[in-house]
Amino acid sequence: MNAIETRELTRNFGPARVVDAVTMEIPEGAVFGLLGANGAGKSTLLKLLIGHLKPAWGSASVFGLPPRSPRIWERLGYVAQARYLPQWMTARECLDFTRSLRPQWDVGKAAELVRRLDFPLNGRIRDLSRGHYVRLQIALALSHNPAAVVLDEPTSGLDPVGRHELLSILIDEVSARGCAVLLSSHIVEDVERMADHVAIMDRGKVVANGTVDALKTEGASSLEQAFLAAVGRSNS
Amino acid sequence: MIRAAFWKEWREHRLKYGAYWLALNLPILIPALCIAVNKGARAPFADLSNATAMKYLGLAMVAECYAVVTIFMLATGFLAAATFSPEQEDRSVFVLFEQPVERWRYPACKMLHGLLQVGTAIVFAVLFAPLLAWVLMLAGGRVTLAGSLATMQTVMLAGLRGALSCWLISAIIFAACALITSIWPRWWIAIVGVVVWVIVFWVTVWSFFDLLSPSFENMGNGSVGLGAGSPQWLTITYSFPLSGFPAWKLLPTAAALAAIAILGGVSNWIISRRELK
Repeated sequence: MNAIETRELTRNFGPARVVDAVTMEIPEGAVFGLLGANGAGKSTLLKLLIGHLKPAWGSASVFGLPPRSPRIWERLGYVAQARYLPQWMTARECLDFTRSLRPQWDVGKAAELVRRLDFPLNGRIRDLSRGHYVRLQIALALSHNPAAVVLDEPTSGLDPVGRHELLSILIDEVSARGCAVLLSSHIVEDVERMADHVAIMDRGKVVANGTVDALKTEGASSLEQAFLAAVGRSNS
Repeated sequence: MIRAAFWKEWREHRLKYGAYWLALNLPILIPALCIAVNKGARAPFADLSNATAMKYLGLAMVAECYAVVTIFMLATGFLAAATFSPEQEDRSVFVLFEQPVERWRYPACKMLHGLLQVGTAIVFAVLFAPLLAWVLMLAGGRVTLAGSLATMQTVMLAGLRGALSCWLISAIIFAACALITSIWPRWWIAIVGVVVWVIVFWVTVWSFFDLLSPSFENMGNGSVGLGAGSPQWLTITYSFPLSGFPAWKLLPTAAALAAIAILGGVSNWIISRRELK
């Protein structure tokens, strides 16, 4: 069974088509990168997948369930790009609150993640730096041992050291448990480091799709070149 | 779910609920404090007998009931806007939608919590008013505990019924203002909407839902006199018919319950269908 599937998924904002007939399949255990420039429609696509947006047409499913089904969250973790965790809570309160809503919450796993991710537990969320905020989100997303995790630009806004460290933790976590990952980013290096399959998005469409090696062999020596070539072809 | 949602509501909005409790009780607390610290002001209560205590206790309770369903309607509306608006404006409601819980459950718990807070605040305010008046009378010396206890029981029971009636009207306001805030989450639009709605409610349907006034229709003649400068500055010749207070009527009561359910349900539906753009 595929962890995540979309068929002709489309969404407009006013007259602009932000996601345009995107079809993709992410098998269980696969690490899938979604690469695209800012404004390419990556975040909108992810919001359609988790039910935060409704499609104009087309369909999506997570473990065979529609995106708005609450049951998807028993097996799914999500790290948002936008900052909308309750700002008045402390990180500890946020973890406790989420635990009380998730029967699948693994207390031991959560403690291990908190130790590993090393963010201040007693600080208010509004006072957390971008790096600490993302770490808290990752702890929230992984503490119930999800079978799939959707990461929306988790390293955006972090310095190179923070990015490297965070990706290392993520790679360790997902490879240890073999969960499916959908990583959206505009940073080619991050996607290349983590993903074994990549879709390149431009102006709402998937303009290239394949394994990292396959994309590189299509006349490009690096994933960055493949990305630029795919976007260039789409624009011409 | 209910426990977690109630914890979040209380933790996030406790100051607003506290302010609402205080607002409902301030009109009683301020005069009570003024009377308590001024011996001369206590004269009307000191001269009371057990037989006439009922009039004063009843007045305090009835006055608070009317305050709740008139001037404090705005406070109730603002409370709804202040508790429903922030998490839609800052989008933190979506954190709740990322849990394995049906989307409608959290807004439903939020509405339930708000209605319970409004209810307990009203019950407290309505019962606190005669209780304070009673304490002042006991302090005056002429009214005795044994002689006024039965009267106090009658007043408190009528107060409970009156508070329930006030809660029904306030709950319509709360649910309607929650709906306004769900449609326009921006706090300042919600505030304008609340003021407009409360005025429209007063002008159009308040008399239909008012269960308080009909109980005084056949009360006969009497007066509440305020004599500035006189030791006997408060004189009441009314005898409030508290055994029939408020005058329950099936149609307004059923309509109020239906309105609360419909307004709350629509608000819930709008919030649970919201998109994160």
